[in-house]
Amino acid sequence: MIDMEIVVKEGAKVHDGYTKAAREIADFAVDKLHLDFEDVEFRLVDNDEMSEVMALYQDPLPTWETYQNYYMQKSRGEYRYGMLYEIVSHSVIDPATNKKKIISYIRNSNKEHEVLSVIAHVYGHLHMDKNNFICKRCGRDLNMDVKRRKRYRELERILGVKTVEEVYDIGKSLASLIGIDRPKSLDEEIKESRDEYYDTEPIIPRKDEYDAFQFIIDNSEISGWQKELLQMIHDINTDIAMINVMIMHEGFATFVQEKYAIEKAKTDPAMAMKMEDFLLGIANPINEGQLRYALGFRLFKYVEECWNKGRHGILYESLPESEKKDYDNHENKGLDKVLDIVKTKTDWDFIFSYASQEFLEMYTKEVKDNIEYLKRTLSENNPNFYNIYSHLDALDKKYTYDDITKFKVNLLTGAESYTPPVFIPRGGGNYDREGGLLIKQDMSLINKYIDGYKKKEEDEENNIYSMLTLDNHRTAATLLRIYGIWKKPVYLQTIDPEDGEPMLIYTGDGEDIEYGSVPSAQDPGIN
Amino acid sequence: MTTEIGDAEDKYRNKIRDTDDLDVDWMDLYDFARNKPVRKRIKIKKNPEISYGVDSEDEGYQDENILFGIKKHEIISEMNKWKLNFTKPGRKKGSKMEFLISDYGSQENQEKTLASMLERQIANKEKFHIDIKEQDVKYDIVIDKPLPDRSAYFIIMRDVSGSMDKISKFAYSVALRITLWLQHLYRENVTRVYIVHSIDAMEVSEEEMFGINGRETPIESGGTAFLNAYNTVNSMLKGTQYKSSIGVSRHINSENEDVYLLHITDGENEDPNKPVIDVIKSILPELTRFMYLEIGSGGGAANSFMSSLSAVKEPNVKMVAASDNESTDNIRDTITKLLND
Repeated sequence: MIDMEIVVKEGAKVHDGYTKAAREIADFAVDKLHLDFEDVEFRLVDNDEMSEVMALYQDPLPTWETYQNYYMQKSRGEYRYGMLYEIVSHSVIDPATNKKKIISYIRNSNKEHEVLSVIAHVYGHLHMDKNNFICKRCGRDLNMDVKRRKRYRELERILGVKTVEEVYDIGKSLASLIGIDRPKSLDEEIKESRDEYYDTEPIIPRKDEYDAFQFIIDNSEISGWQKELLQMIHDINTDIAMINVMIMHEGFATFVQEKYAIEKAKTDPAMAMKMEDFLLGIANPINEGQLRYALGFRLFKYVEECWNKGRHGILYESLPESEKKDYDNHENKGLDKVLDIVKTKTDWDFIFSYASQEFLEMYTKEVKDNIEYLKRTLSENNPNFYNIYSHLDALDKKYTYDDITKFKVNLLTGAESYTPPVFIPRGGGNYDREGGLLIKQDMSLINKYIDGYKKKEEDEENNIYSMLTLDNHRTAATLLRIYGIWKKPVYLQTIDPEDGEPMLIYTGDGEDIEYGSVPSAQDPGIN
Repeated sequence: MTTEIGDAEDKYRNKIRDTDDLDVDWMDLYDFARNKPVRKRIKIKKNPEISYGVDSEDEGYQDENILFGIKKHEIISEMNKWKLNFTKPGRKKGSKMEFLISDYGSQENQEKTLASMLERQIANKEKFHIDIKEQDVKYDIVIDKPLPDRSAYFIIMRDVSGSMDKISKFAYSVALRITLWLQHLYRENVTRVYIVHSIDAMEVSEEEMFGINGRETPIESGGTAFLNAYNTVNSMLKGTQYKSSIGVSRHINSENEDVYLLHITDGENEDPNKPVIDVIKSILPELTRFMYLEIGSGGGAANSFMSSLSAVKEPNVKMVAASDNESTDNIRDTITKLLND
C-alpha cells in the first residue's frame, strides 16, 4: 500500500468514491509501473473554474491574453471540443503534514471512466515532473503568482492600463528569447575561461548568454518599472521555455493511462472498454492539436514492445528481414527503457533516437487510413465540405514524406512550445561596435540530428532549412519590438531557408527589416 | 469567473478590436472526426515571437484576414525603392503632460495627502485630527507622454457591378499596398473601412469585400450608379445613417483623423455625373486624399466618369486609369500616381 496522501475533493468536501479509486490507481502506478510522485490533491471543478485555473497558470497576470486563454478554454469546454480534461497545477506545502502536495484539477462534468482515466494520466505527468532532468528544475510558486498579479494591478493604477500593456506585449515577444544552457565540453570551458581572463577591452557579454531575455533586461536603458515588469514576465515564462519535453510529457501520461485501462479490464471489462475508447479520442492522430498525445503515446508503446522482445541493437539489426518480423527473445525490459527515456531525454532525442523507419511507416499508415475513412464518409451536403476536404488533403500531404529526417523535423517543429533556442554570443552586446545587439540561433543541438541531410533539387521550398529558419514575419516583428527596448540596432543570425547557410536579419532603425550576410571573420559558423 | 481575471475582459475586447502588429488567428470549434460543422469561431490575437518556419507565399488573398501571412516588411522595402514623395499631414500636437498620483516622488500633493489621512482615520474609526503619517503622503509625478501620430481611416470603395463583381488580383494588390503603406506611415493606427456599390451602396466586412472564405458581397451586381456610393461616404463623415452589413453606422471625425478614400471602378456611371461631382466636392475638404482608379479597357475613356472628375482641380485628388494587369510595373506605376504629391 502506498504511504502517500491522495485525496479527491469537490469543493471542501472529500469525494470518498473517487478518493478510493485514486488510491487504487496510485497503488498500481507505484507497484506495477514503478512510478514515483508526491502527494496529490485532486479537485473536481466546473468548466468556468477549470478555464480560469488554466488561464492563470499559463499567465498569472490580469492581461488581455489571460482573458483570451480563459475564453478559448471555456468555449472549448462548452462545446466539448479540444478541451483540457485535467491540469496539474502548483505544489503547496500541506500545513497538516508539512509535506509537498501537488494540486490537480479535473472536470466535475466528466463521466466516471473519464475521471479514472484522467487520474491515471495525471500520475504519468507527476512522475515526469519529478524525474525528468529538465522538468525537475522547474516549478512555479502560487504565492509568487498572487504577488505578481497584485503588483501588475498596482502598475496599471499608477501608469495606466495601455502604458503597462505596451510593455507587457513586448515582454511576451521577448519570452521567446529564453534559451537553454548548452552543456559544454571541457575544452570549450577552458577556452572560454582563458578568453575572459585575457580580455583587453570590455566585452559584453563575456561568455555566451543563453538567456537572451535576461541579458536584455539587465543591459538595456529602460525605466525601473519596465525592468520590473519584464523581469516578472521572464520569471513566469522561464519554466515554459525550458520544457522541451511536451511530446514525452503527454505521450507518457497517455501510456500510463492505457496501462491502467488494461489493468482495469481484469476486473471491469466494460469500464476498461470505455477508458480505451476515451484514450483513442485523446490520442487521435488526425487532430493536429493532439499530435503530442498521438505521437508520444504510440512511440512509447513501440519502444516498450521493442525492448520487451529484444528488437534493438546491432545484433538485431544484422538479422535478415524475414527473421526480424517474429523475433522475440523475451528480454522484457520495455518498461525500464520507457522510464529511462522519461528520465534522461528531450523530445528531439526521443524522436530522433527511437522513431525508426518501421515506426514512422506504421504511424503514417494509421493517419492515412483515418484520412481515407473520413473522406469516404464526408457528405457533400456538409456545409463545410470544402474546408474539411482541403484540411484532410493538407494532412495527407504532410504525412507523405520522402526523407525521414525532414519528416521528423516537420513533426517536431509542428508541435507546440518549440521556441527555437537562441543565445547572445560573447561580444554580442556590442556586435557592430555601436551598441548593436546580436542574437544567434543555436543550431548546435539540432545539427547532430540533421547531419547527413542532403537537400534534393526539387525540394526548393519544402526543405529542412525552410522548417528550421527563423526568417518569417513573426521574427521580423519581434526584432522591431526588441529594438524598442534596446534602442540600438538588433541583429539575428539564422539560417537561409534555401541552403542552410548563415544569414543575418536586422533592423537598424526599428522600422525596417534588412538582410545581410554573416562576416566570415565574425564566428566559426553556427553549424 | 472570479475577479482574478474578470477585470481583464474589457482589455481583451479592446485588444481584439484595435489594429496593431499582432498576428490575427481564428479558433474554430469543429469536430472533424464526427464531421460536424464549425460551431463557434473565436478571433484571437498573438504577440509575435521568434519562431520556426517561413511565411506562406500566398499574400492572403483567400485568407481570413487580407494582411495575415503577408511579408509586410518586404512589400514596404519594395515600395521604399519607388521613392514615393507622399507625406502625411504633420502632427498637430506634440507631447502632453500627464499628472499622476504616486506613493513615491519628490513633489507632494497636499490635497491627496490629506484625503489619504482622512481615509485612514475613517477606517480606524479615529476622530478627525491633523496627524499626517508617512503612509499618508502622496506625490505628484509628471509623465511626458507623446501623443500618437494622428490616426487615419482608409475607406476602400469598390464597384461590384457586372464584370467588376469579382475583385481582380491587380485591384487587390493596389488596395493591399496602399493599406500597408498607410499603416507604415501611421504606425498601425489605420482603420480600414469597406464599401461596395452597384446601383445601391453598403458598408461591408473585409471578408465580403474581398470574397474571402466564400463570402459574397451582400448587394446585387447589376447596373452602376456612383451617387449612393459617395452619399454613403458623406454619411460616414457626417455621422448619419447609411446601409451597412456589419450592423453599425460609424462616424468618422475628420478633425481628429486623416481620411483616405480609394474608389476602384471601371468608370461606368449610370447616374448623371453632376450630382455625383457635387457630392465629391462637398466631401473633399474632409478628405486627406481622394484616389480614383479606373480599371479595364474602358478606363479613362471620354465617356467614363474620370473625364468629368478631371474638372475637379484639387490637390488632394489623384486619378489613374490603368489596365487590369497584375505586373509589378503596372502596380508600381499606378500606386506612384495615386500616392505621389
